Amino acid sequence: MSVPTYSLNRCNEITRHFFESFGRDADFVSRSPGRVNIIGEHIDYCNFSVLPMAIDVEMLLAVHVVRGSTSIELKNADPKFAPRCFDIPLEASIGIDPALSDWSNYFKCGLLVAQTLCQETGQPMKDIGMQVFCQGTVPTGGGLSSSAAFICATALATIRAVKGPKYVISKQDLTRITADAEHYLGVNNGGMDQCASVCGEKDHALYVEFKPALKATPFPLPSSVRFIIANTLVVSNKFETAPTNYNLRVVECTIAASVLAHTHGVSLLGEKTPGNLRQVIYTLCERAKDTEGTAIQKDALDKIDEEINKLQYALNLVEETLGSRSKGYTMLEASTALEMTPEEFTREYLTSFPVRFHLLQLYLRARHVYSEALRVLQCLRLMTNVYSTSTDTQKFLRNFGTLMNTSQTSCRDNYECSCEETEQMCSIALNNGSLGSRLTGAGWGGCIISLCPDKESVARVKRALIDEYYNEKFPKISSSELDAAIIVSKPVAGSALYEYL
Amino acid sequence: MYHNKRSAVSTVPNEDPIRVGFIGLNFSRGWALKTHRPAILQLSSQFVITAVYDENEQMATNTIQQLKLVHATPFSSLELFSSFQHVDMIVVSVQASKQYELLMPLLEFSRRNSNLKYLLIEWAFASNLQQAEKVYQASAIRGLQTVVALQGRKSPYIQRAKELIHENHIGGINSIEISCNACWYGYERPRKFADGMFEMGSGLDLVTTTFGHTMDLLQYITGSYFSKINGLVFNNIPEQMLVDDSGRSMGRTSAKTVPDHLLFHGCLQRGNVPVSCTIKGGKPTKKFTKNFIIDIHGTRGDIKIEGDAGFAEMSNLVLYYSGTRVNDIPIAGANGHPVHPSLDQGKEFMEVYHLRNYDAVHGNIFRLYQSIADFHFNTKNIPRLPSQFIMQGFEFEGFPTLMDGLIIRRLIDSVYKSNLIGATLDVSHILQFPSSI
Repeated sequence: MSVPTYSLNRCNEITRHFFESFGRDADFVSRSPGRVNIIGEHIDYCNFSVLPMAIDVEMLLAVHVVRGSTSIELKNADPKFAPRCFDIPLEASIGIDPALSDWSNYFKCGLLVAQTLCQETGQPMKDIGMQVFCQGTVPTGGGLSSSAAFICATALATIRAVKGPKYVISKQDLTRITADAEHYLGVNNGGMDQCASVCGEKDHALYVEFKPALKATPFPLPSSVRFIIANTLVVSNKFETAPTNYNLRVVECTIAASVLAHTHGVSLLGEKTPGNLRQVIYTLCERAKDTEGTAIQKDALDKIDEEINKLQYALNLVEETLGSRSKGYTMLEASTALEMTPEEFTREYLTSFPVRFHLLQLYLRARHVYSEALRVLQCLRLMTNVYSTSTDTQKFLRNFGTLMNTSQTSCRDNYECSCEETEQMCSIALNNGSLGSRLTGAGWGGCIISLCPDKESVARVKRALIDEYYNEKFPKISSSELDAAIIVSKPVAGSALYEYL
Repeated sequence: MYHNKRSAVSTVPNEDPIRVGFIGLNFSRGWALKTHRPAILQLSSQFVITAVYDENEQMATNTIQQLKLVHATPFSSLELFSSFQHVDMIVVSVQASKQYELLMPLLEFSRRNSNLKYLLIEWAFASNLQQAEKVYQASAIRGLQTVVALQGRKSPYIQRAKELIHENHIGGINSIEISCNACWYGYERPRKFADGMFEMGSGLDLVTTTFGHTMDLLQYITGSYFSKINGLVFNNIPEQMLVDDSGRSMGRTSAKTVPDHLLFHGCLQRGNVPVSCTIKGGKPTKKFTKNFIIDIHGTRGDIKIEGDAGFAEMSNLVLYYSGTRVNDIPIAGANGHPVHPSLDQGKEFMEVYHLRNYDAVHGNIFRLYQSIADFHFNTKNIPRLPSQFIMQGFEFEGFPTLMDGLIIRRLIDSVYKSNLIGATLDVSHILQFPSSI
């Protein structure tokens, strides 16, 4: 699959802004949408599959390529993001300062990975500058992955600028190179956001797998379904709160995996980093299969059921192994559990990204990850059944909604990434016709997603959220702010280029 | 980490960029090419190189051509370079031993350039204290805003440590230990270095460079200068083994008159804090201990900064913190009387701050340039920002000036003096101007 190209005529607004800013016409526009995760929160970095979809908000970059220059000029429609101008060094790669919170850093990440791809394919980025006008409708800090949309649009634009309009850019390549791009900033995310932004498909949810390879499989959703994505307006910048929130969770999961592996005599060699929760359970199940012949999974109905069995086994193992310390581990207790000195422990687990903590919650985090991975599979099974059998749509949606609600409970209680406002909005939505409501994205604020079976319930939920949440909490909120806060979307298509055709 | 939020800070000013005249930029080698040049590229709307000086005119021309400095003019006359009107900032990036002879005439000639506002000089900016005092005075009389490249102050680790202490996360400081490694002054030295670098008085040695940078950082982190100090300077390795580029012995030795070890102790003015410091000359490096350690012990927590290389100002570090915050401790008991918590009470927090992809060699210099631009264009829109300031002192904003450098120079001079006369010295008057030391 390659990134599609459409006519530039569709982008009148941004090309007009480009002209006003730079006094010339843009050559092309690159676009990448935001995404919403329907279910499967905080498990992508443990390599468990997730179920996101691309949505109707996007990042657009209008670009003019300047041959013989090395300058990048960036302007943003949003005044919160001040203009930037920098030069690409002739001899070295572009510098990214991971200690600074700066919007141009995301551009530099996309630029850097695209540069590397061009280099690999024998066409290094040489003497090509760009004038770029950025205009986004993805709310920032809302958990809809504005950063991934920006990075993917940037990488796409850069490849297009270097390779010219005729070059065919594959979605696989674009996903592969952008998946790790945010690591340059010290955000240790899993690649789901970029995959969903690049590979999104109209009216389809994406089943995204990370192992054995990054892959997105589209599954159709019933046409009546609408998702309401509503912003709590509690801003959570993943980058700025990472040491106590996002990165700490990643670290807790890694340590939990190591404690499980160590306790059960599993060696997780063969990876650059310490193993993850998926690896532990797969290794253990492989071993069980070897010793007990083929008994364990012989009666498994299909692959999904086999996976479901593994995760149920994993949940029992968590209770058994970590359950006695459900209040959390101090640094000393965690290092003792791994038979390491505190120094070894610190070097191995705490120096990859800045972290700050009081206790490490290994039990709660592992319980969330395995149960959430299980819920994704249960959703997948519902989706594969809905068209193959005559299950009625209403029943499908009710079951789907229930899984979303359980996911929210686990995010709140096990992963501790919810907040008061999120809880409040979810109950308002559920009381007014939503079948399933939960936080989406990293959490700690940001957006909630609600599953609405039809147009009527969409209207009811929307009304209730405005009356009972927004007007109560933000009495001065304007109608345009409300429009931006509530997005009603069906799944949309992923990254695209707009050219003069 | 308020200081690191920059999205809304404009780096594309409405005014013209700062025009930079360079001494010491060469297209094929050198520190300026590796660090200053990439920093300027990243801030290309705020800085533009308009002049390059080299004694050899062809060299200056080549540098301009090779680096595609399309706005730059080559100079081989210091007089013409210094008085060139299209320069707002002169950067002097040459060895310390050559700074004085360049800077004194440069400052004089530069009177004819009415546009000149900034002078950026590499640490150690002169070979000794007397020269440094003269350079300082001449630049003060000339009325320039000076910048000295004590870029460690811009390291995110140093700033995080300063922030933790400033926000009272470790309570009062109880004691401090420092150990580091000066790299080139051990038993062997690479043959590529000029012999002059190892002769006393070149302005480059263990005390001036390693101790200078490190103590500047310690004072900056803790927000205090020293009150009393004592130093013992060693030269136990008068002959070094020469090694080739791959580290193999060449079977020859060469003389060394600069120190190969420093024992330093002193106390900080604020809180009378004991500081103990030992600096190893160079190879062999320590087997069981990190080569750079600043270990700060407080009443309610500790901070430790570690690095593999000996130089804090240009290496990627790890910061460890553990302690209790003030607001984690209950302040009133059930009966309303204040409770004095024991030292072990309250939630203990652990923080490990490490940026895996931080390139400190480029990053710290980049941040120094960024702060010059922030000041010049007032990008943070600070009301009533003065047009000049004498020193940064212990502020987060701004950048180190020649006055900040001079204070360190005076401390270094006191260390040598203490060693010479074998006594503990009172250095509490180190801030006085003019110097009476």
